[in-house]
Amino acid sequence: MKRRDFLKTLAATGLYAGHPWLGGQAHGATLTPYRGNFFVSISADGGWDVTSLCDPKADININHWATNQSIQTIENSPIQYAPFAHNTQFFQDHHEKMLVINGIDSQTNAHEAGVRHTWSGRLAHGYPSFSAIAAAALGPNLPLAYISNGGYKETAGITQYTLMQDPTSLKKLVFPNQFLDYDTEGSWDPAKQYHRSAAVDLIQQAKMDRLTRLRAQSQLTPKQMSSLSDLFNARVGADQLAPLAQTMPAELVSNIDSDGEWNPLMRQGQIALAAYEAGLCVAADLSMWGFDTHANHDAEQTTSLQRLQNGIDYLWQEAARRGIDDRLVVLISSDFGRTPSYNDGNGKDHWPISSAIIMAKDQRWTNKVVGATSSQHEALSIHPTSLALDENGIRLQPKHIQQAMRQLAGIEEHEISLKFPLDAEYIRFF
Amino acid sequence: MVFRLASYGLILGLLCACSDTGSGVIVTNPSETQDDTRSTSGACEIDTDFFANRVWPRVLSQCASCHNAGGLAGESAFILQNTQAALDDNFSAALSFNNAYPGLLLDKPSEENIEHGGGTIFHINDDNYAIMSELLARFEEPIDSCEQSDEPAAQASSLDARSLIDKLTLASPAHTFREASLLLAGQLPSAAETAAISESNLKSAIRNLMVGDSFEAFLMEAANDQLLTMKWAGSRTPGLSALNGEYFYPQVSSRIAPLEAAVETANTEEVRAIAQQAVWDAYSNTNLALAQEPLRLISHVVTQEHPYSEVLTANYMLVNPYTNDVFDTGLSFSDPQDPNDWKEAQISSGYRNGRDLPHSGILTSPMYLARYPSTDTNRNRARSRWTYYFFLGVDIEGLAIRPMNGDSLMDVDNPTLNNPDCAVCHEIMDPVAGAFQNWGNDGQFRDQCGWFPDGNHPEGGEWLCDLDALPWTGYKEFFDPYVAGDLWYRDMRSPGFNTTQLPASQGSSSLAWLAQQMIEDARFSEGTVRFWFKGLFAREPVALPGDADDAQFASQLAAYEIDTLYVNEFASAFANGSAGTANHGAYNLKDLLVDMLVSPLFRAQSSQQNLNADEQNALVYTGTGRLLTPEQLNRKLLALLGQYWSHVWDQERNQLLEDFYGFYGGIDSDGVTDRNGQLNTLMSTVIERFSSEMVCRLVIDEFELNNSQRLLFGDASINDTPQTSSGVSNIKLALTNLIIRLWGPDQASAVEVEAAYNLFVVLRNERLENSATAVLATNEAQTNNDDNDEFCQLDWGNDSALVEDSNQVLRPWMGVLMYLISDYKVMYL
Repeated sequence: MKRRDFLKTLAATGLYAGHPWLGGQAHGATLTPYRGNFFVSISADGGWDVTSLCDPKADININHWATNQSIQTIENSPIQYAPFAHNTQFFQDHHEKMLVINGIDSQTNAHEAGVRHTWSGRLAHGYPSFSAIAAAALGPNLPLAYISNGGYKETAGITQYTLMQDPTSLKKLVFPNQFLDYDTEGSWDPAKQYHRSAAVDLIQQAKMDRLTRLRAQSQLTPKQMSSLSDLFNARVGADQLAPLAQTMPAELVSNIDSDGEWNPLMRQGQIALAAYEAGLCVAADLSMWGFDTHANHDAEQTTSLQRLQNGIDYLWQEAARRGIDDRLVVLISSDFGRTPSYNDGNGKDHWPISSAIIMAKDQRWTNKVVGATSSQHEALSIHPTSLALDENGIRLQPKHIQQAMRQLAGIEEHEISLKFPLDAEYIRFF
Repeated sequence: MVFRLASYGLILGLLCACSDTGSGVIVTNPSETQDDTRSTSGACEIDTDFFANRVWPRVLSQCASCHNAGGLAGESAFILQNTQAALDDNFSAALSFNNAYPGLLLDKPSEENIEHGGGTIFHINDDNYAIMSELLARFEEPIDSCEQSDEPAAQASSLDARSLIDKLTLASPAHTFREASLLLAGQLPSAAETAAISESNLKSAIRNLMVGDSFEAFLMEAANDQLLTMKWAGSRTPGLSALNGEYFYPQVSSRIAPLEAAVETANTEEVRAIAQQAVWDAYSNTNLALAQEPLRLISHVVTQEHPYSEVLTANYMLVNPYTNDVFDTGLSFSDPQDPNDWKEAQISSGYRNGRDLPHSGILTSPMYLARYPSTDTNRNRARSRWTYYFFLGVDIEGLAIRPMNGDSLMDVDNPTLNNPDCAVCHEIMDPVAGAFQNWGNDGQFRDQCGWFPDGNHPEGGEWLCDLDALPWTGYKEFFDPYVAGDLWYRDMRSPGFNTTQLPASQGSSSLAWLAQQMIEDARFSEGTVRFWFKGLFAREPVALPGDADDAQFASQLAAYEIDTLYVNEFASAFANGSAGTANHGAYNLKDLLVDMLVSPLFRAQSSQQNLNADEQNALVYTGTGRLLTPEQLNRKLLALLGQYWSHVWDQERNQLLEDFYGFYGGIDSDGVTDRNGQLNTLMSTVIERFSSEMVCRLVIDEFELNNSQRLLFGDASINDTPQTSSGVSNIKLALTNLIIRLWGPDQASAVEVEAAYNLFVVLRNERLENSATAVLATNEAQTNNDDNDEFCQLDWGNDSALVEDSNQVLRPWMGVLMYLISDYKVMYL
């Protein structure tokens, strides 16, 4: 019996219990590649300065660039940007894919709380990231449903994340029984496997039998049950990794970007896209550090924003090259914003008001701005449906962005989403 | 007033809340009730139940995180005990406070006409306001009985920490000893050793494991999982760069510079290659030693049985020959190339201008200071935040889990000093930040220049360097509020700790003063427990759940209570010297680790009874079933198999710790700082890979030895086949002992031995039925049928080497070994 057949048998007999959240549905053997939208969340770690990005303030007390430059506009677009970093190229190239959301109140100036609030929609501990919810809801059986590269990766037990920063040895994991250390350029023709296929099938069957016996013990502790469940699901998913070998690039993109900066964002995006193209991934978190610019703000924020923009630009280029850019949905945000003034060290400190950018191709809701801030970068309330400024309206918070992402993914009413209610008022973003 | 356990159970369903039927605490799952107030819930609750079911879990448990003795609000008039086990006392404390300060239990947390140091906890329309309103009403008119009430009784479940733990059974002493030995010492105890273990000698036996290189590796890995100074070990962020060159440490290049010169003067490529390797080796060893320095200090304090407080108070640092050269401490080493020779040292003249640097353990470690750098506006606050977190167990950022007042967040009038909403964090954070006053942003001692008064110019007339660490730009340059001679910012709180200010006489040794204050603080012992919690249990202590509306709030609160209960117990014993074997004095870390390892948090192995959903959620963090880290798994493989997973062409290359380290949840202490404690698919394929790769040479190497020399297969020979009764017997005996060795004695049941034997038989039969080759490595590529390929590195040049197996048993043994070493019992502890 082949391993795949064995898994099918298990599924048919109901022995293939899944994660408790999944109601024990069989998976692995009946997997179909995920072809829905691919959700990428990009975190600008440390608190970005949106007044020098997508919510520009031409006030010299807020931004030094305002001394001799003005806010930039785009023809046939309401999107404005600051003359800063690589903004011109970034917004000119990508504004048609952008929904800019300004005036988001993170309600904190503490990093951990800001990160938690931005990426889970709640200040308190315990809520999963949107990526985790999307992965659990849309790809419950996928072995790489949620790829994380750091940042906020709370799963609340609904899924598992995979950290996959350096895939140099990945092929050895996709094919763990294959001998792959021979010189492909040489003439030596070694054995291709460590063990006969028939033997591997028998061993795998014995391992699953053993795992079934372990899980059937009557006196397991909850922790043991959880660990055994992890092992079971992980083993089942391993059988589905093969497509990754076809989509993983033979050569990874450089970690040095066009500005000569160390920029892991590009490689993070490349790997995530490969996993998605293989049909194995629903959501990925990418992260870029360097935005906590308490000193020397203009220079350091420029460097960080440029790295971020180079990474996002590469992500879209690579998605287009793979022919999957029409299914790519990108959320970009940060812990919070930065003060609308410079401190004594020419830095900017923490400021609760921030922005988010949601990107997707060929959408009627893009090339648009929602939300606004005052001249001193204070959040202004908006009407939830007209989106006009409204003193009695709603002040945007991270929960509204998280709810919007759930809505985009079509999972706002999914049972997993409902387990983590955001209590967010409806905002007509789309 | 006494809280009593009401009869309870999911099966029973309803509880008569008015009856006294036991002892303990009753907690109503918030998800089971529609409302929190007596008037609308439709359920009658006596005051004790109301307090246990609603007031404590939903409101006062949050208050208690600050309002406890030694807590952030420990100096206030409202002091609670931060545990559900103290409901009686906490009820009394609330009642007393309300009697003394009527109404403040409502007004303070809602900030109704009065400021609250912790900010606004709830608003007038919130559920929690209603709960506290009802509590105050009950203080006026107590409800002690529901006997006359027509209201239905509240549904409840018992989630008392002690009751929950009682539902679990501990692993045997022998099993616990085996697991502790593998974790701490990387050793598999012998059968005789485990046979001698009983409950009475378990603690001392575990304590005896705490010696040797593996234990020190365990200590340093666990410490680094917190401190993350190993960031400086790599070439991308080298520790040498963090020292900022010869300006501060004149001898920083004393070892490497001559080696680099040798590269330049090399007259052949061969000589140059050797010289370059020498540079690289020195550079790598120096960075590694720098990164390890604070971790080595911890290991040194622990293994030397010094009081753990010395990690903060040590008037020395640890150096090996490489860092000894960097810091020019004046010590000498018998082997200047030995990276494992560590000694106590002081930087008495190796710093800029021959300065004698003050030492205060980790606090003055150059790599600790560099790992948590500052800026001119951060002003050491990050260092304060992490110092509180690592050594006192106080998570200052954890206080910011509620929405802050928007105006306060936008306050630009020195809010950290003047705004009470900001004070909740800064009141405790900023004085400690001030205690770091002598260290600059990058961690160098007094790295700035400034004006200092002299005899002729008492208000400041002498421009001197190396006497302070305050920045000129943005602060000193304005002379407002800066005054010549200052060591700290005048627009911040003064350096100090809690309410005690740093004495003026301690200006140069402020961190030594801080360290002394910290180790005398009641929170130091709890902070130590929390620091080591992850190393022992592979997770952080459960955090206090923040939202009472969460469906699993009650069970999460119970999980928090379990951890808090044990953290407090561990801390108390650690502080009073009763921990472990109780004869090494207070603050002995080995004894603390012993207590933690014999506790249910490590040992709980089985459940006595069926648990309901709440109980399962509350206990899901407790006991065995922790995934080993790659480092721990590597040591375990070495202990079980006698070798690690090396690369096929390079025996020195440890694949688990190099090629697959990141995949298996390893950290780089920089971008990746959290270990993945939950197995995912790629991690499981790492297990598949190493089991596939390792077994061939393992089996052949074993069977090339005499039986008495073997580690794994001492009971079987290459001639033992299932075709003879003696063969069957020997194979089963070998399997039994393999299972005992690899999985543990408790796993060697007849069922498991039979299952392993059956696998052996079917693997062999498959070979016989399909006429598989007897050669132990084969390549059928020429027939394009890779299914029958079997790679193995055979010793073809050695006539006595095993390269064939006409009995067809070695390949089945390899398969069985694959099955055994990729098992749950190998990967988890």
